[in-house]
Amino acid sequence: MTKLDFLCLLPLLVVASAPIIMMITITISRNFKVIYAFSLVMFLAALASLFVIAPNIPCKIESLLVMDGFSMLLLGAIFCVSLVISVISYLYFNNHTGEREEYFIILFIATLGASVLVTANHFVTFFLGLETLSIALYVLIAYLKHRDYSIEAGVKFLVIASVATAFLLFGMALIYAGTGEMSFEGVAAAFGKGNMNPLLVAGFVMMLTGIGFKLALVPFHMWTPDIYQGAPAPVSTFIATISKGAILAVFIRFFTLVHGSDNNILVVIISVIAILSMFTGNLLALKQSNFKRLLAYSSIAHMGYLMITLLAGTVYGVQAAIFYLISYMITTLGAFGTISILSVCERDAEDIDDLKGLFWKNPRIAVVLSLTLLSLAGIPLTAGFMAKFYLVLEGVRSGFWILAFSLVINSVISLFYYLRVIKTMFTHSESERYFGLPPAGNIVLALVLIGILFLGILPSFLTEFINSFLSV
Amino acid sequence: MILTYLIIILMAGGAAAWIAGKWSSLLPRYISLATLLIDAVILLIVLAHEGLNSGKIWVVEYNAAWIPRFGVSFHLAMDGLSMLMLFLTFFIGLIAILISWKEITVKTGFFHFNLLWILAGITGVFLSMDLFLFYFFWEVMLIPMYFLIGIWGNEKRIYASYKFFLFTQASGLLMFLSILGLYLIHGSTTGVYTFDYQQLLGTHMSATMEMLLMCGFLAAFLVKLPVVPFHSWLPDTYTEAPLAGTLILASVMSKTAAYGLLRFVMPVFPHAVASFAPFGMILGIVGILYGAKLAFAQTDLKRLVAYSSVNHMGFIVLGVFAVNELAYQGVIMQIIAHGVSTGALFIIAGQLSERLKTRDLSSMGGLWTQAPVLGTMGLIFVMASLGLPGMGNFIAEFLILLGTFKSSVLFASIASVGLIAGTIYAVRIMQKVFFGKENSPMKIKDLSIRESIILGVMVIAIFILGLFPQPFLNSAKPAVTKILHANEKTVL
Repeated sequence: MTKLDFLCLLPLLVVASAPIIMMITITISRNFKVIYAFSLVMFLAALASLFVIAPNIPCKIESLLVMDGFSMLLLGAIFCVSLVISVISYLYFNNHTGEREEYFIILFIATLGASVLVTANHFVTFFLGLETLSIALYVLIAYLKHRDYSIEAGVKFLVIASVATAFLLFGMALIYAGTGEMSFEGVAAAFGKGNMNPLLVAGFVMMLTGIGFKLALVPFHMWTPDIYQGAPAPVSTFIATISKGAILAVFIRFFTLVHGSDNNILVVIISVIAILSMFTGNLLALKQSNFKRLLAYSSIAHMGYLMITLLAGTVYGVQAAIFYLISYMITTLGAFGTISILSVCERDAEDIDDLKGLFWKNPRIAVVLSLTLLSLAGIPLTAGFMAKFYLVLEGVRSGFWILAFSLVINSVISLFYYLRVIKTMFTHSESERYFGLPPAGNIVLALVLIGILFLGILPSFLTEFINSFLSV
Repeated sequence: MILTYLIIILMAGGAAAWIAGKWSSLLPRYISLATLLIDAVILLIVLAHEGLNSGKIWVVEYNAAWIPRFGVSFHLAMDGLSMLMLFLTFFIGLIAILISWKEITVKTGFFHFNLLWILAGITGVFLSMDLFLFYFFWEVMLIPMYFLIGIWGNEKRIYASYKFFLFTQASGLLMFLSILGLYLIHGSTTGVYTFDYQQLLGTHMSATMEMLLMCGFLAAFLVKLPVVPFHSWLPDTYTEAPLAGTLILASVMSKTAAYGLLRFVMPVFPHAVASFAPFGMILGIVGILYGAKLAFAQTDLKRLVAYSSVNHMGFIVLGVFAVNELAYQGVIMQIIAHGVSTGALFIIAGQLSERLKTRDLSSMGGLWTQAPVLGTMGLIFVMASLGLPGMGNFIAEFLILLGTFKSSVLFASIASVGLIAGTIYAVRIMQKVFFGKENSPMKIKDLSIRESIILGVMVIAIFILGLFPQPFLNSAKPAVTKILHANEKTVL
């Protein structure tokens, strides 16, 4: 390893150093505020380190990790989202008692896992990142152990994630057996020779199963609603945004490198999974009365939409995917952020009925949440619309009309339940509960609002930004 | 740039009204009135300054890049047709604000925000010359309308707002797929990927593809208009919406679809339109007859007027698919005249139900003696609606039938029967509401000064349309020839 390699690893090193320092700090003295402030600083430092290494990209650290435009973009997104999640988490845990400091340590470890994933260029780092992420998540999900569903959710995630990992490992092993390679480029080169024999396809499908579990694609989606519901709201936010985003990113990298979209069997399998995910997610979301579960089902559908970009198999497809991912992250932050802010110590504000009358009691939160939901539904003026447009355009350009059609049908279905939530906000309620909003909460909501509207009205900035990074 | 201001002023006015609503319930009303008046004045200045027959393709035009990566531009342009539509929009908008002066008492700030944003979306639709932008505004007007119905509507408002939103959204998405298809076909044949209307005109494509893409557009427009059999959302929505909402829905929003048919479907898909024309005219005739029949069968006054709208929209569809100049002029007249006459009928229905606390026809009757002014207004607009000479609707329907006669004698003859059917339901309104035995124990007040002024202005408007239609026809003429010419150019 050279000096330059170390420099390129800077963002990961910053994130990795944070938990160590925090652990030492906690042994000396426990202070929730200090730990919170420190994590904000460290996430900002991680963001800053991206600017430091920007002149050196692309650079490869052995064959294990790669720092190129793609990973830079996603690292930036991950750090920004983590920063906001820290703020939300602080607001959320502030009215809890007990040992809350370790939460931030684990949050950093999870972020580290996600960061390794998006820079991974080798099966080993892929696996390493995934496990770091998953193991941190088991703890995060069950963090509020006095709550009813929390342990159940943690154990469920443990079992499901292990099964997924087993599939993934087996798939990797099969591919290794077939090609003798573990690095993405090596595998891609072996695939490129046109000898996609049944062994490799089987390996690929196994990997797809593992990833399908992690991304909660149908038919591997059963765990999502329970875990979204059982986990504390900020952790659900993390799973929905960073965890899924990072796993999708590494999959996109691998899939485009090996030109998976040229293989008919894979295309058919992924198309079926995508369509099933869209319909199942949206149809099951229709009847939910729990807002977190509703968002969980909606995320299944959104992952289904995202599969379209994968199939497009072009660099435009990748751009569309990143655009979609970023707008989805902002939007989801808004939705879960609202739940976190409205939650009280005993329970999360997760019933849709908790939102009753919000429009009249606290219009600011209600407006942001409405906008978020409209963005998830893909209504113009919001980021979600531009993202969906980009997605459909690339899908149709590559000739996937059926997928584009099912996206359109599903957009209509999804409107039913998004509108239902919005409707609940402006029906009058008897309860006199007033939702106060601390300044930090205001800032988060304002950021979400600006993000959604900005991407919805002037998407060119982000598309050009993504374009300039991907061409590096 | 002036066209951009029209939209920005409406949006900014809406935001200001919302904020002002925190302090006073009166302030938002004045802000909205001022906003609309400013827009109307700007439009008048443009009209006085530029004239309509300067020979340019567009009277005013503004074009800027928006998302250059996909060939999306912020392209607004106005010709005589768009200008007429905008005048109608602002006129009805002003009336909608005035009519809800007393009716809307809760959350006036947010109400006016929604009202102005709907109008901003509609204004955008009438000005967009970029298909992506067009779709963008097409959707922008939906959400505030959803809120308007969902918050201030009548008893079944939630159901109605859902139904409205889903119908229009679903059909709009089909149009969006068509737009994308058109974009890709144009891009792959010419190498220029653009959503610009002017450039997409005359795109070459196979007959099947053209038909498919046109169907996407038709889906959006025929649902919005609405045309039988896609009309099932209309009675619920029109009935449950607050009066201002109904007014905008019926008088302006449905016209965006008629405008879309003329502006986009005709010139872009000339061959497909030619082969679809007979079916289109049949749809129109079905709408005329079925709308009249259903209107006759209603016992709810607002629903009755809603179905009469289906009847009038039938004429528009008939005219659009007759594809000739006379019919198109008739369509444009019908758009404006129906906007005024049906709007006024909805207002009258609204006033009656506000006074009687019911919309049921059977509990009305003999109201003329109690409210002679209201009765007179009712008589005028009922006569306008059934197409009495001297008022706008007569000119419109006459021109449409004349145009249709040139294309198909058979269809024109059947459609004429619709006029009689229209007369039957229209006369029934007068009979049930104002004449006959008094059924309601309640004594009602006649129109207040504010209401009389509103309806009086509309009376003047409908007579001007009927007695001096020439200026309107003249201002739309260049646009009509342009639409038909784009057609011929590609046919030859």
